[in-house]
Amino acid sequence: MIFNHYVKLSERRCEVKKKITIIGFIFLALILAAMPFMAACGEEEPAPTAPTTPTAPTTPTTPTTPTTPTTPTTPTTPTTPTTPATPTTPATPVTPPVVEPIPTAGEPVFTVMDPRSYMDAIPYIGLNPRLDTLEGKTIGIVNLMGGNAAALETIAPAIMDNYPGTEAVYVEMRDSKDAAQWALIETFDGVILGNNY
Amino acid sequence: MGIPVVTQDFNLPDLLTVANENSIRGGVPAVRQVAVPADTFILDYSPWVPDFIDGLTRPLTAEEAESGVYQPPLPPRIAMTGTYAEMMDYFEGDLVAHYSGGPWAWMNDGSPIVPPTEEAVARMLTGTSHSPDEIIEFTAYGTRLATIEKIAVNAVMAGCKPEYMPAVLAIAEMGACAGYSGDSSFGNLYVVSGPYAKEIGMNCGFDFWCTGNPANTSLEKACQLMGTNLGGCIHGIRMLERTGNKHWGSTFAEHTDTPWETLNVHYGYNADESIMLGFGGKVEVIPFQNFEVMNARDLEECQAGTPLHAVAAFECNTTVDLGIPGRLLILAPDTAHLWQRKYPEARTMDSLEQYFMDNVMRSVDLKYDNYWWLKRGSPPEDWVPGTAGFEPAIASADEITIIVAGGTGDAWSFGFGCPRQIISIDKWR
Repeated sequence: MIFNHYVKLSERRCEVKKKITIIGFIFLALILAAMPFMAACGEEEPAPTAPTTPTAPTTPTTPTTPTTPTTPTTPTTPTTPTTPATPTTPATPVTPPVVEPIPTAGEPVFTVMDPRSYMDAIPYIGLNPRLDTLEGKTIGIVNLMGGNAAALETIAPAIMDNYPGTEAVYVEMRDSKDAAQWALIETFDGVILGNNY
Repeated sequence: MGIPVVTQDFNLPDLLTVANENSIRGGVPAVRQVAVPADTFILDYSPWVPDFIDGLTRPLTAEEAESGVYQPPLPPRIAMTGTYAEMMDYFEGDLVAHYSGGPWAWMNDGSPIVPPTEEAVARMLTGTSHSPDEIIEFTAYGTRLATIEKIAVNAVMAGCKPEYMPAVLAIAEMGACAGYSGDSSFGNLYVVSGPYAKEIGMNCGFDFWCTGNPANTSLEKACQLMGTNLGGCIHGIRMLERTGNKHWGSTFAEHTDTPWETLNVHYGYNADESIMLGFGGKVEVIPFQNFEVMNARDLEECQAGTPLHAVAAFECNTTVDLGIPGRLLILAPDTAHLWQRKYPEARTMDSLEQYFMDNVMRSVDLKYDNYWWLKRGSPPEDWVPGTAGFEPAIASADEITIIVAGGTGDAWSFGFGCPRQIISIDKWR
């Protein structure tokens, strides 16, 4: 039942649409027939607007007088019923829409400056030479920021266990400007540096 | 002959990159690193001892032993020629190259910029009497050198007007938003005091934190661009702040409707001189009524707060022993007048600062149990927990900044910012 009801409704809508379309065509034909007569009478025409130019559809969004019925936005043919030749307010001057071309091939090109700073030359000193033997050497494990101590403390015993004849000392720096600790570090033959907090 | 060194680093690409860059700046082309897993549950590094020993004993390669002079590549004066879209692509760079969390743009802030043409940069340079060749140093990631012309390029990109240049240069002198390679979430905040703020139309009233005012907004953007392009900040590679900071160049002006002297006068300048206060590092501000720190007994106390409310606010920062944990207090003009009339301690800005120094306290017991403090100090041997009492948390008036800004009506906000720099804007005119 309900389905049949909707089918009927749909059929009725189709019929109404057909009638509207027919009326539209009749109205259009009347207008076309009247145009030569109006021109012969010397009746003032509105200022030409975008609809007669084929390029207008490319600039549909920039009408300056969107409320006036004489400046339709996207006409496709001059015969469309949406372009009445007899405006209701012919005395009102109609401002043609400003057509801003969408940049395509003529898009502006910029030559722009680089915004970055630079660094001065850096004198390279290279890495310090490596140890040729661990025998009799003292390795310092320096915890520069004092963090991650539990893990860093395990290095010194492991070195002494696995490399006999090598001393290893763990140093935890609480103050990076402690001259005494730096003096101690300079006595080491090699340094393992941890920088954790 | 120096001591051979091998570093322990965590096996994170960003940290290893930072370590490499630091070693290059120190004159060492390639430091030897042992990358251990970034896992704080690993409490035994003995499995990596052979790697440490290898780093200390393996002979140097030719590259490692290289000495002489290394000249980092110099950027060109002209970057490129192209359409706006091509220019944006150029300044964005390879967004996905930021493997550690990006994507981030390389030479802009991720939003559209004004093309820095030579003509636009020349116009920008008319905003200062200084030579385009004059150099300002940025030191966040090694010393980087920028001519005033390069600063003007960034100012153009940010949408600044030529008359903003003295403020842009003041921000540049303070280092801009370069961040740092640690893991905190530091920020940058700038306040302009003096007639210059009105000259360039800065906002000091309603919604001064918000975007919309051309001067405030473009100065903020200039700060960000300069941090990246001149300071050397690369998010996720050089700058490793875990969350970042919302105040990444926030800039506003002090309101001249104040019951006290304006900040330029308070800090020793003449009333007709203009200055910029810059807060870097730990910067955060809790806007009015977003966070209530103490009970308010009536609507006036809700909206205007009291000096005691500010004490309660300041005491919620337990930072110890990290330089100057600066306190910020921002009062709307009406609120500043109310405080000045109603509370004897707020008769002058000096007396209000002294009130905070006398009343903002911290628990000594908590300090003795504070991780950062314990890294550098030890509690007294006779310390009995719970008996140490309190001590003043603010050692100097330099740790307090009281700013008047905001729209009509009452509002008070508090926050933190350190360290504070104060420099002249006029010298950059």
